[in-house]
Amino acid sequence: MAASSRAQVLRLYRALLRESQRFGGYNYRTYAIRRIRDAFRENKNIKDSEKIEELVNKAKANLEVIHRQQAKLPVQLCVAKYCAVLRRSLAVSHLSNIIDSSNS
Amino acid sequence: MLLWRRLAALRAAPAPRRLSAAAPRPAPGQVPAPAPGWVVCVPQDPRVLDSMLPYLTAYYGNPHSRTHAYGWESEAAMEKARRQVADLIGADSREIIFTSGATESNNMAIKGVARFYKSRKKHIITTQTEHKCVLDSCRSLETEGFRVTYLPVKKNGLIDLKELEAAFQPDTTLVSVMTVNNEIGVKQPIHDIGEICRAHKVFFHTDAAQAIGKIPMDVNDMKIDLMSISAHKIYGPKGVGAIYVRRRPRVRLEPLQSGGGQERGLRSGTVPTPLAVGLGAACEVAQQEMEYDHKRISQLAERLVTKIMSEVPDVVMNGDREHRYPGCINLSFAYVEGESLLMALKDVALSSGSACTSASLEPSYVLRAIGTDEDLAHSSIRFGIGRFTTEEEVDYTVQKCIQHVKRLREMSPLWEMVQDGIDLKSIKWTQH
Repeated sequence: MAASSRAQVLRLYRALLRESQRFGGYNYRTYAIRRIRDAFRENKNIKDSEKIEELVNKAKANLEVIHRQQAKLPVQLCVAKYCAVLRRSLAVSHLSNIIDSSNS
Repeated sequence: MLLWRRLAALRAAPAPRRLSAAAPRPAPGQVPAPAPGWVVCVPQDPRVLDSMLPYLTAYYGNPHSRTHAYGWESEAAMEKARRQVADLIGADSREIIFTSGATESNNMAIKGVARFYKSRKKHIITTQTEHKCVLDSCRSLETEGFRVTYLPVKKNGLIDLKELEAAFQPDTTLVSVMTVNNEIGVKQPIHDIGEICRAHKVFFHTDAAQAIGKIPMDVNDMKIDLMSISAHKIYGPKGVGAIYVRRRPRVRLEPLQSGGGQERGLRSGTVPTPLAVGLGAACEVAQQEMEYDHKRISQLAERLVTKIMSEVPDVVMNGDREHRYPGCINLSFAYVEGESLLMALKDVALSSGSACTSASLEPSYVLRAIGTDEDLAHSSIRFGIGRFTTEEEVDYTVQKCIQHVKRLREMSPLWEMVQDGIDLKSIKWTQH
């Protein structure tokens, strides 16, 4: 089995970090970036090509998980949007109140 | 004085972990209001959710249906999850039974074992600092005619092994001691307790909801016969847990639920496949990440405690300093109302208003059991640190905490009296 090249590993590292940046939730984002950095640093001196291959495959699987999940976990409520909706519904109820009172 | 109120947060209480809807969304790079109420309720790990999703959509078969492929898929997933749980605690997968959570597991273990052996054995030993569901199960057994010894704990929250030895009776059937306390984070000497129980030929149950996946647990090494597990403490989904029931020597229990005989007849009812898969994935991730998480959580806990203690005088850490899980810190801020501090910190810490026992004005029974003074018990706050907690969140919490403790003390007549050198214990408070 051919060992993954340095360029390939670095490409994977960058892809993981890039994908993690897109996590909506602050805690998930910071965790993912921290964990990826720490794992790559921890394993940077590994020479055994089989072990490297195993880690690369694990990283690839994790990249897919991050890719799938970052879109689904926009945990933090977008307050601007929430407020806009609230304002609109309040305005509507206010209007309907006016209509009600003018009708009665 | 009794208006003083503190946080008695229970594991079962889902506390709002996220910042409130009214908080502004942070700009990139800015830290949002953190939520270190992580003992009670932690967010799900993305890896866990990723493993669950297919079973919420594509594979929806009933795992107990043997007649079609949909069922087989689900069954295979469920069995894989069972193995993942078993691997984490060094058990055989046939010894794992899925339940709805640690509360159900605790009920099953205590009531199940006691009732099965009731014709010969009528005595149970537990501790005063157990989770409410263990204590309440014991109380209900007392009404059924069992005798229960509630062992006291030492000042540091740990049980005295000599007292445990002395508590054994000829008809003792079960000892139940939790591994890590959910309120003060102390870690009981499970290994020694296991040895003692095995020597007395008494079954040993431990509520390990706060421990598994965070500290190494091995049921054979620790001689545990029954163990309760919860998924949402290890970044898994809520509403699922498991109980480990030893096969050799065999532990027998009377099931609580009657029905279709699933889970070897011990827990009837369809196993929720997606949740079980989530529990399994959470266990696997926890196993991989245990060392990394533990190291980091220890660092953050150290940071929180030293910063607070160096800035504010008269802060007491509840529970043993050595034998503990670092992610659960319980601090008492003397001369401060715990409730006021919680209100001031409401964007960071646990809300006391949710379904936990803080609805009562009583101080926590756990703190009372370790002999904390009434006033200190009323002024305690629990901090939880987890996998996703950041340094910024800890620093924010520390800064807010210091600021508000100082502010509240400035306003407090008690604090003023203490500064004037008056011993508060000498004051006679009039009753009205």
